[in-house]
Amino acid sequence: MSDARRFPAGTAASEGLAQCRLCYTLAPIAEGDTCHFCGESLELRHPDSLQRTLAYLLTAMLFYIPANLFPIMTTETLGQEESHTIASGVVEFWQLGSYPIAIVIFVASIIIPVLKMLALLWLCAYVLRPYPVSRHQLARIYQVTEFVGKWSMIDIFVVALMVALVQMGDLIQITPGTGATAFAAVVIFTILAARAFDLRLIWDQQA
Amino acid sequence: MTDSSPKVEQRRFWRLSAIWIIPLLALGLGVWLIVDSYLSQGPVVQLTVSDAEGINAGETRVKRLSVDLGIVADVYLNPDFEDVTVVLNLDTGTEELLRDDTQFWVVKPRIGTDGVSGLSTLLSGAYIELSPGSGNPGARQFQALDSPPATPVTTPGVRVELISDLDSTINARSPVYYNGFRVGQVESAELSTEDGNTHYSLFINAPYDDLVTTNTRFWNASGLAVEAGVSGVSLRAESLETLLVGGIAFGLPEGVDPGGSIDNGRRYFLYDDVDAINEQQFSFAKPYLLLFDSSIRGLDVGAPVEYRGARLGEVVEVSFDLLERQSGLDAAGQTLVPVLIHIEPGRVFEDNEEGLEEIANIIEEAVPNGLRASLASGNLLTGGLYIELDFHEEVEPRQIRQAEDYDVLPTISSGFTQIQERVSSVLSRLEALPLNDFVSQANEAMQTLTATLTTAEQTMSELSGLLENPSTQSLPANLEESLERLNQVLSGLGPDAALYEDLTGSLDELRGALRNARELTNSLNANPSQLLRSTEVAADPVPGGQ
Repeated sequence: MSDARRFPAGTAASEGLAQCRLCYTLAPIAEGDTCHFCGESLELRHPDSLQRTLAYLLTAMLFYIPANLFPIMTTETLGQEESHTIASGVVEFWQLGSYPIAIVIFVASIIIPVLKMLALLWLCAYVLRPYPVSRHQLARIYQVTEFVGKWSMIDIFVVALMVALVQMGDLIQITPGTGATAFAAVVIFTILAARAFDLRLIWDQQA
Repeated sequence: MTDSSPKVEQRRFWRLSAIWIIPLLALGLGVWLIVDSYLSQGPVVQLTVSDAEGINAGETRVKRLSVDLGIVADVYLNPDFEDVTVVLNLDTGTEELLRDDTQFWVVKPRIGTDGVSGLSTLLSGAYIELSPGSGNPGARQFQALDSPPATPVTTPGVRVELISDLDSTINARSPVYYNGFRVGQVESAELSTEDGNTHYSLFINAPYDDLVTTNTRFWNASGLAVEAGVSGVSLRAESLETLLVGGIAFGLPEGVDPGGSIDNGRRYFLYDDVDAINEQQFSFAKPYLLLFDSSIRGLDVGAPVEYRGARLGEVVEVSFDLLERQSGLDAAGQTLVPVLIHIEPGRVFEDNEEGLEEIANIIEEAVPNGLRASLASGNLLTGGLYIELDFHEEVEPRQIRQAEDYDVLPTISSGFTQIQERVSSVLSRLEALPLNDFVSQANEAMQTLTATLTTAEQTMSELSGLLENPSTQSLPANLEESLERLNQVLSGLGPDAALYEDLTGSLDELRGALRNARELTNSLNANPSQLLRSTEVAADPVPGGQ
């Protein structure tokens, strides 16, 4: 039967059981069923998981454009204003010889978000059009993605700290830019996308 | 279990979830951000600067009255590598500031005669200042000024141009005075390569711009005027500032009405000093050409033309270009020096057509009567010459003749030249004298004279020997003695002396004797025979008888 094809034998789903999201009770699932224990609606997979993931991913991608085009932070020193985008900040730190900082910013702000979005995109693509690949590897990609994703917030964190600390009137003053907001949105939406993705969808695909 | 699978199948992808609103919102937000950023992007200006010192792309700001208006987006060298183009991204709403006479300049620390400016840029770096114009909007290409404009374009006032052929210490930012008040300043001073004159641009601030009218004259008020006259030496300076940085003053010549108001950019001539503007200006002038056969060294353009000390006009031009070469030759084929003078009727009569005609007639009649032009020395120290018109006797009669377009006024050698000629003729006569013979004769004469003098000396010494002789010396005493005796003799002859009485008596007797003798002779004359005969008594003569 088709169910046997969709849900591998030996799983709860193949037995018509689903775990409650709230209380983790394993309960039999039927149309419109709710958890007999806590009343939460039961579902075998996150509803619209793929759509949500793709939607969040698209949002993050859209925000990624202004995040890189607009200045993330504006430094005003003695009336001399200086705006930096993420890329110009990396370039400037590199030129100043602060290679570790440049590398950290480059990795945290440019590499990681891009890789994360690409990884999620890859997972979604696999769910839509499965091809022979180790599911274990895909799961590992997902784990790494979810773990590393929050580190992108380091940039936002730095900007927030700087803005809060460096307010010395005419001498030096730092204000956040539009880029910072957009970048925060990128990070948040990639996290949401990662959360929305139901890893179990990978299992459902026949390799 | 079997009924759950279609649900999963259905929900799997194809039902559009409401979650897609989020990317749509994000897209909307992104589009709005981009549109907003595009809309908030003001005009882009290309500014050409001669040097991009202190200008950095993405850092240097554009300001107006210390308010940020934009930022330098790009700095690049122009294709000819001669100057730099700075691309400015200005904020929205600055379009109104960008007119074809809007000025840009780079604000840097600057030290000048008017103080120190731009000190704040020492720390913050240079910025570009914008001064809005009042011309046509829409300009996007500008040339940056090398220094801040002396006067912002929108300052009320009037801008005039001065042309000067004087050496001068007037610079940009030199003050402009009216009656000792500072009313404006020199904006720029440029030496024109076309005419070699200095061109000044002056700005007179409102409300003093009304003082500048069509008849206004500008003069150089720089430095110190030293005048030495019969009444002594006087010093004059407009202000201490003009001593240092030069300056220009303006006003009206004496007795001239102000005239009409003026527009921006009117051109004026810069006079040498305040006295020069009071030199009357005449509209009508009768040109005459003078041809001189002697040196005119010391005769300047502008030198006066005078009749017995009264000014009639001035020298206008001294140039061989005035005449074709053939017309400017004298009888001997030597080239004469042409001098063009203007006789200004306004100095004598009215400054109009009638006056012009009148003075032309007078000169035409006067020339046959001996009116001649000559060079006269006006100042022995400087050797300055002027033209003297006067009547001369013993000149061959001449008429005003035409040479090309000019009336030629006959000339004679100047007094100075005459003196020169006389001196040279005296010298030539001196030269002609047989001086050598004269000198040798004089020598001989001198020798003779020496011999004569020697003889004379001998004579004199003999004479003195004679005088020293005692007999010679006693001579005066003898003489005195003789005179004493003579005196005594003479006193013996005085009226009181006995001799005198005797003499008087003798003389009386002699007189009686003589009377008798005369009677005798009378009677003898009448009757000579008496001597021989006795006397006959004659009849008494009867008057009217016979």
